[in-house]
Amino acid sequence: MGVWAVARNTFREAVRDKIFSLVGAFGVVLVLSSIVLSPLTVGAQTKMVADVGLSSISIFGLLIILLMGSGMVHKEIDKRTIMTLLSKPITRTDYMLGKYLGLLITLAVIMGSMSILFFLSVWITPTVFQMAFVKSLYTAMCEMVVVTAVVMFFSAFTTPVLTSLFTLGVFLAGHTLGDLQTFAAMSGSHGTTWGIDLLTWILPNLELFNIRNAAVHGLPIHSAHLMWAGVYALLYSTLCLIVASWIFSRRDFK
Amino acid sequence: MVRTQNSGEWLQAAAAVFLTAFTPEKWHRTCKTLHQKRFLVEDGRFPAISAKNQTERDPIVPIFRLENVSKSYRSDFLRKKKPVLRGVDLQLASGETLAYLGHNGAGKTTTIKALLGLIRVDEGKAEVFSHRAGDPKALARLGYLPENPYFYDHLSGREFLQLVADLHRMPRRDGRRRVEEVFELVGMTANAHRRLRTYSKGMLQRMGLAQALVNDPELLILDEPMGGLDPVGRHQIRSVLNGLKKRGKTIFMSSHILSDVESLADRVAILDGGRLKRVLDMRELDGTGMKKVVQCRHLSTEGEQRLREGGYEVRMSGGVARIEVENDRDLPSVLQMVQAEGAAILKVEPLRSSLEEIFLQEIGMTQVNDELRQLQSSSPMQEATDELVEAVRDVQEVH
Repeated sequence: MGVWAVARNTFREAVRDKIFSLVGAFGVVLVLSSIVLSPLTVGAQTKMVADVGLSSISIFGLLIILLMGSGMVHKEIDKRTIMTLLSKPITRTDYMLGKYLGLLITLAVIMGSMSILFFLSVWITPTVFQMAFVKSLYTAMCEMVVVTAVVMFFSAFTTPVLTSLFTLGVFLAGHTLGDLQTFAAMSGSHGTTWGIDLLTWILPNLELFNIRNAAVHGLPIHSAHLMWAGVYALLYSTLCLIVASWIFSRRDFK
Repeated sequence: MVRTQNSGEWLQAAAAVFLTAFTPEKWHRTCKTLHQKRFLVEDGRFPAISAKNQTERDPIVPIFRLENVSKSYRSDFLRKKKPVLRGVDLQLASGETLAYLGHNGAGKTTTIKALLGLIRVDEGKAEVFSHRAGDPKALARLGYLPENPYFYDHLSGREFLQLVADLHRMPRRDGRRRVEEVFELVGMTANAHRRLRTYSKGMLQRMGLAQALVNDPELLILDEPMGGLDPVGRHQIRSVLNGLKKRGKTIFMSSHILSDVESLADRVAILDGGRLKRVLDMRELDGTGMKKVVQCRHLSTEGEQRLREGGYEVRMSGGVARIEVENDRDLPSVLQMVQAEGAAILKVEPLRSSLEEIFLQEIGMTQVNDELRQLQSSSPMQEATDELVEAVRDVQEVH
């Protein structure tokens, strides 16, 4: 119950901070891009709407995580509201989990709203609705589950700016791990190969969640892949949260 | 859809599964169990018997116990650690009100944070309700008012207290009822619906007390409860605390306002430079068994002489004689002598040190104050200072 109380408070804070105005911005971007870009892509208008829509949802999701998540814990420490909260019968793990779930609920509501706008744009334009779009949105949400956990991990011990930078770094590296492995194999250096291998053991493989191209171009997406994406997101975020809670539980609040 | 298999994914998944089974709390519980088992093996007794014996040996279990607690902070990565608490030993009995005195930076707030588990102590042991400091079981039975409280801006007073009730796992209906009771208690019912960002400092202080009372705690830990309050607010908080004290609540409060401490506390602990200098029972200040002063008028010079010969210290000031009597047993004979000399007895009172005097003495400020007074009296600024003091008095009288 303590976890849910923290999560509900985090969600309420996001709502009252007018974070949902981002959904409006997303709607404007989606409509404008559909109007401007569709005539430029002769014969591929339908793919363009789907590609822009799905990509925008991912980018806006990342933006919300960075905007909200990076300063979430720090703000509480800075304003000393954390003193009141942690003097109540909750563990620091409960606190981190509550914050994480609150951010995730906010994200789910925003991404859900954006998905509705996306399906509306699909319905309005001559784009054909495909089940693959839903699958792509599901993996995008899985990806956000992981990135949110990464934000929580960094915010357990560092400043908001560094949290944003590190999370962005993990996001970019997580999407290019495959390329980095190829580069390491080509370089022939044992040190580089070992270093890249180490990165693959630590960083999340975010390319696992990128099935946008397959969805837009109508390529098959296996249900085993989707299942693994869900399980992996759950396990990786659990790992991040455990380490984050461990670090956070050792912090002094001066 | 074909994709490259990543070995890291499996490794990360396995690590997550492993760590889920061994969260820090689980580790702590396991260690505690192992420690208890070791204790029992060493003790060689059945747990129930062991616990009974423990109670027989130590019938009064303190509400909290600080044993040789030390804490240092490093202000910078490269800088040397600065000690904030040095071997603090302190206990609080049930139903007692203990005031924690010390000047700024003495380590009062650090002690409180150590009790709440907000900081980890470097050395020593901090226990609350026989649990490790910061244990949710201990936190469930206490209420804490932070210094200069600041709460969630986006919530109204009522929403905030409801959040606190939720954190205490109170059923919704009980929580709502208790929230209204607490608002009533601190006199904030009329402002319950307002957002916290619109509250004044005094109102926030009262909200701070309200949130500490939501769970009807056995122990109240108050960090400067009167800080930033106007006289009316102070009176209100003091009467709430008096009411709680009468209901048998245990209170541990740090304060700078000595008059409030004198009126509320049963004991006073004085902290200086992170060291506990003295724990004083307030009964020591009530005059019992202390030196007495007999004040009288019209004491003749012969009478004064006779008293001096009897070994009593006599001071004359403005026609009033002050006779200091060391021992209670001598008091009747002194009074008799004074009456026999035809002097009019004005009053007999204990010559007691005020809390302020004791506090200043303990933190080594008496000497500094004396020096300051000497400096002031010899300074050409003295007249100006006197005039200023007079002016302030005039203004106070007008008000």
